[in-house]
Amino acid sequence: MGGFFLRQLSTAIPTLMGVSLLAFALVRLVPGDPVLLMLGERGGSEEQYAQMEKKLGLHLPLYRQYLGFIGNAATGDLGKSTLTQRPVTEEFFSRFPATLELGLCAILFAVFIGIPAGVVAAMKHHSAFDYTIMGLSLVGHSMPIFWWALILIIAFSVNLGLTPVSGRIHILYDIPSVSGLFLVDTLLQGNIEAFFSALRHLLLPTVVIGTIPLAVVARMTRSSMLEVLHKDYVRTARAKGLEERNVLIFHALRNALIPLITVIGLQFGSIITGAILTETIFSWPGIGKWMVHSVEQRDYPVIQGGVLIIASMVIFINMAVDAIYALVNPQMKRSR
Amino acid sequence: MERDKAQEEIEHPFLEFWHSFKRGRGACIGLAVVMIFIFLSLFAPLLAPHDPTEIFEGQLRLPPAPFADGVARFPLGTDSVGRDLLSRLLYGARVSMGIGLLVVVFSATVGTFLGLVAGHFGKGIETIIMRLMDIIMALPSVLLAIVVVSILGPGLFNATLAVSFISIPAFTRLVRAGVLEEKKKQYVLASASFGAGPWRQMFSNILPNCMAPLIVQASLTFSNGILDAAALGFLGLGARPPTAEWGTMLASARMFMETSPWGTALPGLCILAVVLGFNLFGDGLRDALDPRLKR
Repeated sequence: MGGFFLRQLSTAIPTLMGVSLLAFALVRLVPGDPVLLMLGERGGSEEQYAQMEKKLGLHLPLYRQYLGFIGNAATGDLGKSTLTQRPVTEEFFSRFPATLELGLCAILFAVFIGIPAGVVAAMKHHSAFDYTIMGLSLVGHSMPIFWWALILIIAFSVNLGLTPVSGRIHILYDIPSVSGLFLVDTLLQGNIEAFFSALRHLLLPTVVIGTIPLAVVARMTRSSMLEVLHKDYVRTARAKGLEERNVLIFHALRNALIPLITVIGLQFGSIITGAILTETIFSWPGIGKWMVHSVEQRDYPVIQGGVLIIASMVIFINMAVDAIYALVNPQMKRSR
Repeated sequence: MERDKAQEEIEHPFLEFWHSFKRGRGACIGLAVVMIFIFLSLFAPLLAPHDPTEIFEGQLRLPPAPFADGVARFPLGTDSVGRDLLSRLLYGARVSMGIGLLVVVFSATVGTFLGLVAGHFGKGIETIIMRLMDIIMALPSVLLAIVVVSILGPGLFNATLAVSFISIPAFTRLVRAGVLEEKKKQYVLASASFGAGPWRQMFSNILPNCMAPLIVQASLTFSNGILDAAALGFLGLGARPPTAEWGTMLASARMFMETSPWGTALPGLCILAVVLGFNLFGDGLRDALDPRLKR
């Protein structure tokens, strides 16, 4: 197992270095002088210019700048936002729980609806239910989620008045941050009303972000189940006279879920993309909205730092997914 | 007699493909949708009742004609500044199909070339190219696109370039995998023994034999390109008003979606229909072209 992990790490590190190089190059690729950009509209005297250049380290040769950049990044220093003058890392992690909460809920939504739907569709292969699920998942897979969000707002917030249109929680509630996840923090505080407020705020964004992962999970579960149901071990289990339900859950589904681990892990990218669009629409104070805002405001240290952190997360999640896959897949065990 | 029979049995590859393609119901629906949108975008100037940017004063946010306040002059109503919605949607089809086409042409050309080089030459070049692709793939697509747009500046063409850029790795990986498989085969070895150079091997011998997955990928890239470019337009980083682009139209109709929901509903439906059409078409292509799935 250790060897497997080391091998993975050895491919992850060059990728990570490449990503840092990309993030570093980013600010240098922007047309115009970054020093003037930092000094702002007012410009500045020559002295101020030299001072800012020194402060940004731009007077050093490029390779020294890059080494400085990754050296600082390794200690968690990604520079300061030009807009707020606060450290990028601090800004990132103050917003991260909001996106994490949304992303986790979206994954749970996709898994807890997608897997049962896929299993039932596979059991009733070629039935009306099967066709409906497959049709819906095709539509879901092609959904422009920014439009889907607006349609849901019109239906549930405007016409039915069931859900709020923006924010994470009603402004009345003051929740002390423990985990940063409002669903957890409100429960820790014992404030049930605030919990339901947070839940209602979460509903629509969760559905919006979860739609594409849901479609993918349902489709993959179905095809994976269909494949497994024809396997010998399922026939053996049935021949032993096991109850059909036990055959399905312990023999078929357990094996059908193995390829799904990879599929679910790969949805992380789709969730970040979803977060960028959804957070902007629902004014959700997370990473996605922050990145869009920084791009609009040309806050380059933030874009640079944000890209580096998000890419590192994607790389580590992919590694973790591969590791889990290797752990649970009996075929991988034998080949090691 | 014998000969006729033999000829009947061996179909032209295209006919063989077509017979297996048209068996898929989804594939045919997809193809029909794709054809309709190609038709609409080609003939938009003839079909559109008005100029897409012409502003009709006092005709703001009219509902589609069948509704109570609708006017026959504007079959699908007008937008928030009084432009004919139908005309804008038709020209929007043009913009979106154009984006899709550009994205496919650009990313398939660059991606295929890199994949061929990586697969054929191997060693250091391969490592560098494939690592580069890993880096691009480590970033979520829309995030990478908005970063590229932040460098190039917002605009329709830059958004298209950004989306093309993020679509490259899929082609490179497919082509490289194909090349690695093909280059061991006898016809490539035979050709090499006749003195075929690397470029001839790559382009005339190997590439035509790994086309099938590329065609499928092109169809999926087309739909993703339209979707991502519309998302950029929606975020205000793609096409700029008054360009009739569906994502941008959605964004500007958003403020009025409570009072005039059709301005929001229709462009989104168009995006959904086109993307769904291309995805169905792509799935159909995969089923028909992939020999492993053939019955």
